[in-house]
Amino acid sequence: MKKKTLPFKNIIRKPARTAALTIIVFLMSFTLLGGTLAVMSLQRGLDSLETRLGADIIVIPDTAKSKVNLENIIFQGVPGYFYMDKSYVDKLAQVEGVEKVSAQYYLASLSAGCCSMPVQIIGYDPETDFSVTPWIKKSYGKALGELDIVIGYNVNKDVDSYITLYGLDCKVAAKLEQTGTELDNAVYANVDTVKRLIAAAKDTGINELSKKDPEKIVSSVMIKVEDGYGIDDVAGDINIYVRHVQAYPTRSMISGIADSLSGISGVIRVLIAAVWVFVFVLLCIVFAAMVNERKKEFAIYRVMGMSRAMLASMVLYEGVIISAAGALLGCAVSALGLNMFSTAIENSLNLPFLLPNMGALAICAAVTFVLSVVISAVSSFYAAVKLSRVDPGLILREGN
Amino acid sequence: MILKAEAVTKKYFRKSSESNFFYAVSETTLELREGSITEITGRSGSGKSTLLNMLAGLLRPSSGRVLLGETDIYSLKDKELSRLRNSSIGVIPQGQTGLDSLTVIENVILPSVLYKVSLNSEERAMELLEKVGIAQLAHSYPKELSGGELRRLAIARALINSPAVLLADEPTGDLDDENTKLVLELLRNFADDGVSVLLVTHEAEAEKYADVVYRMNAGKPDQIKGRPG
Amino acid sequence: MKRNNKFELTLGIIMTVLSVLLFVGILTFFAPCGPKEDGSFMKCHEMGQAVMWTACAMTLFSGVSMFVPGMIKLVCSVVTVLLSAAAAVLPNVMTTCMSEKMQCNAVTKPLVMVIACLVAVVAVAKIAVVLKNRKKNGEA
Repeated sequence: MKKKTLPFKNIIRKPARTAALTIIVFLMSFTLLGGTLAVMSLQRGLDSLETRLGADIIVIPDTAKSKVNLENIIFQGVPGYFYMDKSYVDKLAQVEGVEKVSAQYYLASLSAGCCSMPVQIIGYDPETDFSVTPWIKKSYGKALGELDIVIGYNVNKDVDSYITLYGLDCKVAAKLEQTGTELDNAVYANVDTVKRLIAAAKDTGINELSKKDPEKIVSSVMIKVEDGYGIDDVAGDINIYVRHVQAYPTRSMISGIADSLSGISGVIRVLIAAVWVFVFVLLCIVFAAMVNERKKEFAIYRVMGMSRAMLASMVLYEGVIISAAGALLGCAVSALGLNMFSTAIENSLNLPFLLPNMGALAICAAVTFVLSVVISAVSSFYAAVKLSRVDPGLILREGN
Repeated sequence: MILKAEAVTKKYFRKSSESNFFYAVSETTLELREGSITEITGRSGSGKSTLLNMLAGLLRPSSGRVLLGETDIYSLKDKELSRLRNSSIGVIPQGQTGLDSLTVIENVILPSVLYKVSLNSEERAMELLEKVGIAQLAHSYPKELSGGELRRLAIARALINSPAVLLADEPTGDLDDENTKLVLELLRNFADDGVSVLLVTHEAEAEKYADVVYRMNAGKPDQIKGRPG
Repeated sequence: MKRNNKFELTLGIIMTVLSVLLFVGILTFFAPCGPKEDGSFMKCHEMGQAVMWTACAMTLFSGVSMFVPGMIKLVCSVVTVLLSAAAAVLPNVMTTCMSEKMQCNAVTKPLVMVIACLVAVVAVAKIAVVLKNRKKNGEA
């Protein structure tokens, strides 16, 4: 028997008290870390969407259906397609302030050879592309060959395996990094592959394609604006001077998401604050009640010759051990839970959701851990110090 | 070592009365001598336990001094007083005072490990448990013990550091005749070994074992047996 | 009833309730993806079936472990640990649908893993308690 083991014995021999305190601290750290990570993931998802889109302006055919389809592809993950004449690419390149243009091709697979859920196919032109290639290069150093595809992070296939699209076996050359957006569900291919796929799709009888020549159509045009020109101004010029197309600045497209994101983040922050205030008050009450319940026990320690400082440090030690366990559990469960259920959260919020990297996660967890331990240790210490100032003789007298 | 109360008083303030304070212990001077049992008897609320707590260094007197040898114990800082109590004053508080989280033997050992690493404290604890007759319960928890066994546990714990003074507050309360006799005999044996024992009790039987007896009446002790202290 | 036996029974009840939750859940609120439009099953269907039957066996063994004596109780608990470990592994080794966004990957897989791991932890705790009680009672 050593003095050091006393707090452990008190903790182990009072399982109900220990469990109650652990749960309170668990709740505190779980909410703080879970909430903070959720807010960070939403922000990171939005940032990653903006970067992944990679263009300043997206130009699509001037029809209501096209816009809905594009938004579905980007924000809802519902595969779609729409086409316009290829000649627009040259017209757009001539608009003042346009630095680079590159066409993209959209196609929705009927069946991806596994499930009935269609997959979005995005084709790009390697010669002009500036929005997709930088991402693909990170995962695949070489140029994509014909019928080679790069898959988004969420497509559950291994590299070098094959996916059958419109009857053509396409080889998975690489898998992209996670973005937390709907673009993680897409498949990327170069223009030659996409043209073969469009031709194959045409054979299967997709109506819109039946009258069109795959060589003469594109779906959208990505535009990079020259330095010194305003993105909105260039988009405005395109809308005035180029007929039958509509130009959308990327930033304005995602502003809708940004709005709902700030709404949700606000709610989460209020929730974290509310839980913390509630838990802090609860902790103070619980510790005060606990110290009160244990005052005879504390008086006995004093009778044996424990000094006030020793008693307070023993209670502090107990508080720190329990809160450390609760905080550790809270951090582990929230980090692990968010990791495991991030796709489910993304699906239900319908917003891009990308968890912070390991470094940021570790820092957040460490801060949460320290904060939770400090808060509960302070409340336990305060109660113990307050009680230790009362003469043990008075407590023993009261107890009888 | 002699424990002495010099003109100690304990005054409590109350809010709801015309006279806003009362004396739980009026000016009292008494001395506990080595090798003797001093008994304080009296009605409930007469100030017996208050006096004992003041002697134990657990309740600061309103006036007067408590001397252990030459040291005025209330002039010491909390840390020093606690250490002094740990080494020299054994206290058996009123009621059941076993610590639930510890086994019987751990309860007994605890005072001996608070300020030092004690190698033979387990042997000493077993010796004391044998003396008080509960050695077979060494590894049980206080909740498994009867009232008498718990009192004996408190006695063994108070004696683990071989204190010069033993202060016992109602050590025979709620005990049957057999256990009462056993506890009183134990205290007599310790006194015979040289310990100064103060016994606060209602028990009529105790008078037989005491060298000096005081009756406490409204906060004032009157000596009714033995040589004046 | 002695405190230890009560604790053993509580663990048994938690184990059984969680196993039932896994069994009911895989058939209802976290079932894998539904059938295709043509009525045929998706790729994750077999995983769902495997988890369902494993959960069924887990329910049986954890339930029985509450009512049988000594050695059989221990065996039932050990089998429950093995079955729950298998249930946690199944969604990772069996084929699921191609998109991580789909129900089987986004919801079924993590929930099956979490519940199965919880059952395994509780079952291990139960084994420890059963062994401790046996030692205490002198049954070798």
